[in-house]
Amino acid sequence: MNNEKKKLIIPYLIPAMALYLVFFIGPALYGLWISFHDWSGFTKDMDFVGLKNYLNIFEDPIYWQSFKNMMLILLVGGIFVFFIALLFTSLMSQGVTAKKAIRAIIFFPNIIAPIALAIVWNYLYRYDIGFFNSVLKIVGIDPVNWTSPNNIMMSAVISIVWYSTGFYAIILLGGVDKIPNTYFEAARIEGASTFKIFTKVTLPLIWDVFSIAVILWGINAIRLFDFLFAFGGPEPPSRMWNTAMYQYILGFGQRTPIYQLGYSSAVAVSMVVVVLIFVITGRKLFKREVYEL
Amino acid sequence: MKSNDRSILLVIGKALLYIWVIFILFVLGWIVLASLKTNQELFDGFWKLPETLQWGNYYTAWVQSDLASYFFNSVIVVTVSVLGIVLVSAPAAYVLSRFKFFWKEPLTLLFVIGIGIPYQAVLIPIYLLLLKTGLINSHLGLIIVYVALSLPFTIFILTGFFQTLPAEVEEAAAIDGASANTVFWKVMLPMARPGLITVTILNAVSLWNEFLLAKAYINVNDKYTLSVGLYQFYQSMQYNSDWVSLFAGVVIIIFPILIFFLWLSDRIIEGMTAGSGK
Repeated sequence: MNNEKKKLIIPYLIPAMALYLVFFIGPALYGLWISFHDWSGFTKDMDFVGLKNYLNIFEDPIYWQSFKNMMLILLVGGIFVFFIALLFTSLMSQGVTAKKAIRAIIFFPNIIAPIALAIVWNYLYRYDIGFFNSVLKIVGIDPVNWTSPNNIMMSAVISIVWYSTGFYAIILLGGVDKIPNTYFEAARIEGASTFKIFTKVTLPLIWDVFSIAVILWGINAIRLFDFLFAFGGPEPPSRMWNTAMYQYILGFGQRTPIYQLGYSSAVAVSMVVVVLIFVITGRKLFKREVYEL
Repeated sequence: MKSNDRSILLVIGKALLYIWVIFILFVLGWIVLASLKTNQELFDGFWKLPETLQWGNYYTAWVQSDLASYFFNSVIVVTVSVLGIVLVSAPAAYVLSRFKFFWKEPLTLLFVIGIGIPYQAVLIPIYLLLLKTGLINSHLGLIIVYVALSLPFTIFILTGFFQTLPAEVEEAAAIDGASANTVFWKVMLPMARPGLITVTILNAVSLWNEFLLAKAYINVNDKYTLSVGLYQFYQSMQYNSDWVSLFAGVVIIIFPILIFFLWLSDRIIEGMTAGSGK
């Protein structure tokens, strides 16, 4: 590589590196440092307390409630998202009218602002004049209190699945579209059923795209905040907090400021750990021989 | 390509797909209708149609509830941020994808890791940093944060793109006497236009919808971005039940993205799937 080119390296990288180090990596490390302290943020006093915040996490019922909700979204939500996404993908790839229009329509909810989705879904779930109860009424079933403290988390997960599925279906479809038609033709000639074609041809050949989609889902599901926070209304009950919400509330408070910055930072670190575990596990589970097309 | 069999699974699956699509269109249509009702009509029942279209709701949302200001705040923040992101990421991605130097791999890895780090990990530290530098409650502060946090994903996508560009063009331009700078800005960058468009769109959409950071870092009413402004409007429903105007606000926040999407949906979708192929 000639010297002319070499001169570009530093100047072309500096802006990105500077911004990234100062506003991302630096703060991330600082956050880790804060997590080892007790700090209200108001005073200059940061008391070093070692692993106390982390030990407190283990004993914190609200944390584990939020963790459960996070897992609910990640695992239950994820299973539904990918079950439906795979179904739609295989249907769309095997021939469906107006494929491009359908593709665009199912993708759209994913790019609507989460705050808007939260407002709308809260309304759809209304007990008195919401969509779902009005449909139930027509069919003669008793109305359900979708946003009761008991139900609100599941209702949120349903909404999340609704607006997320299309996105992952599109990603998977991108993978399926790369499979040459000849593969499907050959399978059909052999007399394979739709299901067999899916499991023996489609799925193996989109395996790497599938694994990326799942990892992407994991990252997004764990950090999910915007929709859930707004969906919870003016003062979301702790019953429906996921860990991302708990972390935010610990730092910025709801009505009354709490400002437990040290503890909040520890919770944030725990989330990074969860992402790490998920990505590593995901890669292990998905690891297998990649079939070259 | 039609399938062989008429299995019941296929029929149910297709039905589900069509119901799914119809439901999405239905919800969108209902939102628009709701924004054109009177509050009385809205509370009369879910299925009631408006008698006359209440365009006044949009006036209420836009002017009285200040969504106009929030809208323009978002336009400014998103436009400047996206410009910043591309200007900073493109040269970096170019170098990371086509140059050789010993710290290339670790640096690339460092950027990629950023994709997996949840915002929660930096939410409070960045808040403190912004406080210290006087950038809290400012559009500039939010823009800088948006740029920095969008770098991992954008650089990731762009390096992929730059890698696909042929070296011959690069070399030819150099032989012709172009400086390395010129080669990048006048030759390689234009060739990477599809990639640049993709990341522009992806960043613009996600920043327009962004809520957590905008809420955490800007607490001054007239500086709110649209998503935060709409949230505050929603909060005020406790005291002021002007739901129809709230729905007008919902339409306002969705509308630009919808237009964008109708115009560019193919491009957006292809951009996403191209990235996932890596």
